[in-house]
Amino acid sequence: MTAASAATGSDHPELVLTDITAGYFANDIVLDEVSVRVAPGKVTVVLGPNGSGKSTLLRVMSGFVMPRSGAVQLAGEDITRRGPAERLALGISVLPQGRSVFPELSVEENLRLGAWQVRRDRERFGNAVDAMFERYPTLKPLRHKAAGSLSGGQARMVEFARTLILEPRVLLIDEPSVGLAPVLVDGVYDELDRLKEEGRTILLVDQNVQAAVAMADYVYTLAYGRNHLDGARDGFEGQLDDLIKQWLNL
Amino acid sequence: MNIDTIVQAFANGLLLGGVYGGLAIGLSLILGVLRIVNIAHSVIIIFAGLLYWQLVTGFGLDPLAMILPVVALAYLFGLVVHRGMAQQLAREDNSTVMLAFFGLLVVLESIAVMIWTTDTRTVALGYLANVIELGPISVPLTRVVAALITVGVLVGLHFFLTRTLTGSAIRGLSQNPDVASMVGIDVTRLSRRVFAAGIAFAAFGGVVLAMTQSFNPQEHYRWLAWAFLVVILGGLGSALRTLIAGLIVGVIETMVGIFIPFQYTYLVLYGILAVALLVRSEGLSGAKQRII
Repeated sequence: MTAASAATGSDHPELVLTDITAGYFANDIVLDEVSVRVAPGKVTVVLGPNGSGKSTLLRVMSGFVMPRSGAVQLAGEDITRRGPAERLALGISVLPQGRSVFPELSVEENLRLGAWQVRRDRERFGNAVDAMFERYPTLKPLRHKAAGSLSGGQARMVEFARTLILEPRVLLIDEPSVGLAPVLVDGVYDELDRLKEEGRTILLVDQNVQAAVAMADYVYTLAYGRNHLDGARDGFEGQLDDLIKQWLNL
Repeated sequence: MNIDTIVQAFANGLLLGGVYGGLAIGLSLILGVLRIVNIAHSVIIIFAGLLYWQLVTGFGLDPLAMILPVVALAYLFGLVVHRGMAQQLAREDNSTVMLAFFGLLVVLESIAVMIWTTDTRTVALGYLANVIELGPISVPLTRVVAALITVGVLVGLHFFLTRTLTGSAIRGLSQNPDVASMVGIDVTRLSRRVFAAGIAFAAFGGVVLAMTQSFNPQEHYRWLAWAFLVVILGGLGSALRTLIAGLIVGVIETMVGIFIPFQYTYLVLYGILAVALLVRSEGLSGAKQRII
């Protein structure tokens, strides 16, 4: 299997990266001609050892890193040169790695800032915030508490809510369980399962290989900033052990 | 010493403290939200004071009507300084940024001296130059007006920062600029506006200072020290705490003056500053807050 032949089962992939080369410094290449397709309504997982370029790939998708070459398309439209705010407006939302609440703002203020882009549309703005309190009823009684005073699990739910508040077309999720107490990790994957059942389009970058593959529809692996393997989940599960061993030897 | 003296000193202290709050808020805003140590803060104060003197005493314009034009001009100047300087230095060391702002200080101070010389100036405030008698105490009307305007502005700023979405965005920007840009806030544009607002507030402090005190273009370092004292005492927590810290410094200054010789006033205030820095690197209020 090669990246170029990556067929996801859909003729109209939502988000497509083609031959992306990117890096942070002049003579440093983090991604070398990487191609990824994110199919609508599916969970696409990107795996790889540390330093393989997973997070950079996500930053290229969200517009925080401009690729040196290659193209980014959303539903057939070229968005390679669009910045992060524009991509958010087009429906690409990011749930970043680690703690990302505004710690000294209340839960409600955190959610309201999540809806910053629609602030001029009063009705949509208000409905969006209310909808998130409906979706995460446990946050309702906490709405006036500082987000920094929440438990790790509660803060993660605020982050999910803030990411979903604009009803994005594509959700980019970076290492959702990193830094959480093991007891909370299940809660995060339960939430991811709910998002999958709702038929959302998700790109998940994860080091928690077993959990990620369990919910994946399609899997890519990166190594040294290049496409390594890709395929539907069923074909992947058998290879997982070998793959992990291989990474540990890298 | 009788009770009237103490009441009078307390009233003077509150009025002086209002001015100090006005002197400090611009510094607090830029430091709290953008992490920029604006060494040029006090020269903006003096420049605005001189400009205000020029308009009111020089051209004979209305003292209350001239506040807004000076502040608005400073806002525009702040936009230019952010675009031309602060923004370019965003990724540099703090010391580099400080040095650049020191350069700005030298340039602006030189321009001020070229235009207005080093003479000490006093703004003649016309109809505001009355004294109000309140029972045993008497207070100059200018100080009352200056203190009331400052309290109004700082309380207004407090509500803006805590009750509006833009206020949340500014506080969010100070806490986590990366996530602010992830939710679609134009961080550069918002930073520029906050910076310009900080410069405008510094100019506002200069106007308030000019309304209440004589000043000259080269003694502004003293006001820089005073502004830092208020910011450190209040912490970078909120506009309200900056106001309260200003009032505390004002009251201490005048109260100390009636109990011990005048020349020890600074010693006491800097002693308090030292204690504040020792007890809490983030200010006396105790809260480990960094937001404005």
